[in-house]
Amino acid sequence: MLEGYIPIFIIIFISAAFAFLNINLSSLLGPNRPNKEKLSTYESGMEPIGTAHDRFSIKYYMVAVSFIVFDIEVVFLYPWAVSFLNFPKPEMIYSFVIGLIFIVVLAVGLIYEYKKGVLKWD
Amino acid sequence: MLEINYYLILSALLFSIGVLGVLVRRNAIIIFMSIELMLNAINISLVSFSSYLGEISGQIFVFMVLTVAAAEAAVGLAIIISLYRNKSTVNIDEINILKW
Amino acid sequence: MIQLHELQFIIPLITICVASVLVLIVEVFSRNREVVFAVTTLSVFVALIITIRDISYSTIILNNFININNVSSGFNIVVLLSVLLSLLESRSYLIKKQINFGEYYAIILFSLIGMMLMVMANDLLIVFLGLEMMSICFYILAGFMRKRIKSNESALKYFLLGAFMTGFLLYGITLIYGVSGTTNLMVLFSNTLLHQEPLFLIGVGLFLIGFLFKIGAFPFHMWVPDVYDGAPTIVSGFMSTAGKIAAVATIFPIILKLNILDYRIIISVVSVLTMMFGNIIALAQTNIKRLLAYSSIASAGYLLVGLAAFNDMALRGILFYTLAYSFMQLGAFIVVGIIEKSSSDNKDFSNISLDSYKGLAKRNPVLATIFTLFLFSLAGIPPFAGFWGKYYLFVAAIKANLIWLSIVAILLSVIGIYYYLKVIVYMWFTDPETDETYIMSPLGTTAIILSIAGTIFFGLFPEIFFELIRFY
Repeated sequence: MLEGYIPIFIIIFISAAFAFLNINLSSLLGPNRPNKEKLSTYESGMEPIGTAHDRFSIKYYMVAVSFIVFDIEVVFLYPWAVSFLNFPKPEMIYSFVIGLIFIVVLAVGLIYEYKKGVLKWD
Repeated sequence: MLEINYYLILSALLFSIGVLGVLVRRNAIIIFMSIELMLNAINISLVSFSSYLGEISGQIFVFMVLTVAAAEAAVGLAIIISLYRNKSTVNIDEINILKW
Repeated sequence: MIQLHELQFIIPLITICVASVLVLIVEVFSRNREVVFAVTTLSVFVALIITIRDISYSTIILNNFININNVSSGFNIVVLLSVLLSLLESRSYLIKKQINFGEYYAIILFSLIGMMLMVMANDLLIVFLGLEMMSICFYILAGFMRKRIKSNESALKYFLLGAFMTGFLLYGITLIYGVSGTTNLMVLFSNTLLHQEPLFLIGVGLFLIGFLFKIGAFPFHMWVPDVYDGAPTIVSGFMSTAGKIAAVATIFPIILKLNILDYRIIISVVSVLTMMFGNIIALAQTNIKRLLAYSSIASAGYLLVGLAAFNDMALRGILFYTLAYSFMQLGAFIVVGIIEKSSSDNKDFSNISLDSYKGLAKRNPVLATIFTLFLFSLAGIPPFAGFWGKYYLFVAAIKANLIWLSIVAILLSVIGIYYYLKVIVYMWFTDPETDETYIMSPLGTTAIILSIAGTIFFGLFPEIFFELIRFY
């Protein structure tokens, strides 16, 4: 099964070894005389402005967290929706009610988020 | 169709990489990412067991693991951010007021 | 498919679920913390009463996911009781610390749902979900004072280690599933052929490790003092009782029913080391919260002694010890919380060093007496409940021919008496350094009276608890 991939593995190995060797050779053989100019950030020849560790708005974090949670909840709704039509009638109602409860609980979370002002962008 | 062993070895390797990441890295966010890697490695083996055994509950378990991992991510990032606001670092070597 | 009549068996759980959603809605729409608090406390109280009323139910329901019997209900009673007691003191503590948000109560209820689910679980899936619901809520609660670095730090430590150990627990579940093809606990118990499979044993071992972390047993105990020290005091009390009891109530019956005697030697060694670490390191502590944390590690060791016995007496001892433990440990933490919140500077945790207990008996004899009683009970001095808890556990070990284990356990708990006595000596026989007065809210006083009553009552009549839960 995997035999066909052996040449690829060999190539990956050789290229990784070659790259590793050359990168380390240059630092081994070349002279190492750092100064302030050399160590500073290269920003297309301009003087660097500020640090790279700048903070950005916390709103991105809020959106990301809401996204993670609600995105995962959709994972549950897909299998539910797909298998919904395969049920006979009484079980259909049952599974509809169960799905409804699930969505109501999620909706409470959404209302909570909305009232706390997480979704306000400005 | 590959044998189940390959999947299990892949999963064990990913799990070990995750464990190693938790043990050697010092940045809280990267440690957290390693933990996520561990959980996803477990998902691989759950799915492959499930398909090997022809039994569905392993795949349902994966859904639950994914959900829990997402909830953990939300809470964990919140904790890391609130620490960062007070202390301006997420390096766990510098987080050391509590001892003895 | 769930039959509607099955829901009558889980009314307490449904009560808590509805209350938790209600609390969130009340919090965002009216911001009235009195209502939030009332709803929370009332729902826990109602759930407690219904659980006691329905103690005789014994059934497996909801597609074989939930197993209700007198043991799980008994543990649920203990968990609900400790949640109720910590809720009573929470309010005044939170107001004093200016963190009286409605979310606190919602999160307490969410974690309670997780605990109850976990205790009643009949499937590894439910065990996992319940454990995670509980743990994720605990991560938040530990970091609830989000302006304090100590609280942040304890939350981060707890979160990173907890999530890490969850990985091992899940790997264990995966192996169990891979070998057996099922996650149903009843099937796993009955299939004794499975119990010889090496992969199954490794799986159960990893599963056990995940839980040993939660109950703070050696060698996974290092988070306990740090987290209990940094978390808000009342939360530390809550985590060290309700959380620990729920974890014990889930894993110990499972291990006992699996009855894999190969584990006996490992569990014995772990329990000896746990008791040693808890009791000996506690001797050097000067911080009362850390001291109680180490004493809770030692308690985990005593419980493991019972587990190692693998007989009928074991479950009896574990049940009673958790009950006694919830009263005395929570009571001690409530007293520590009262003293801590009364400190004049409100910036970070103060008043938690042993020095602030100097001469407490001269300043506030009532509080000192109460604290002394709790410490006596924790030390295992008769006639308090803590003594009977240890007694039942050690008897179980002796019945199982683990004489050496019970002798070691008794010796180590004698060492433990020393550091409890140290606190008592500080309180009664030294001169006060400050003249602070302590505020006791009516609800907090109620919680203390209930804990004291429980500690003494079950110390005098230990058998009544077993009659209450029909466990003979």
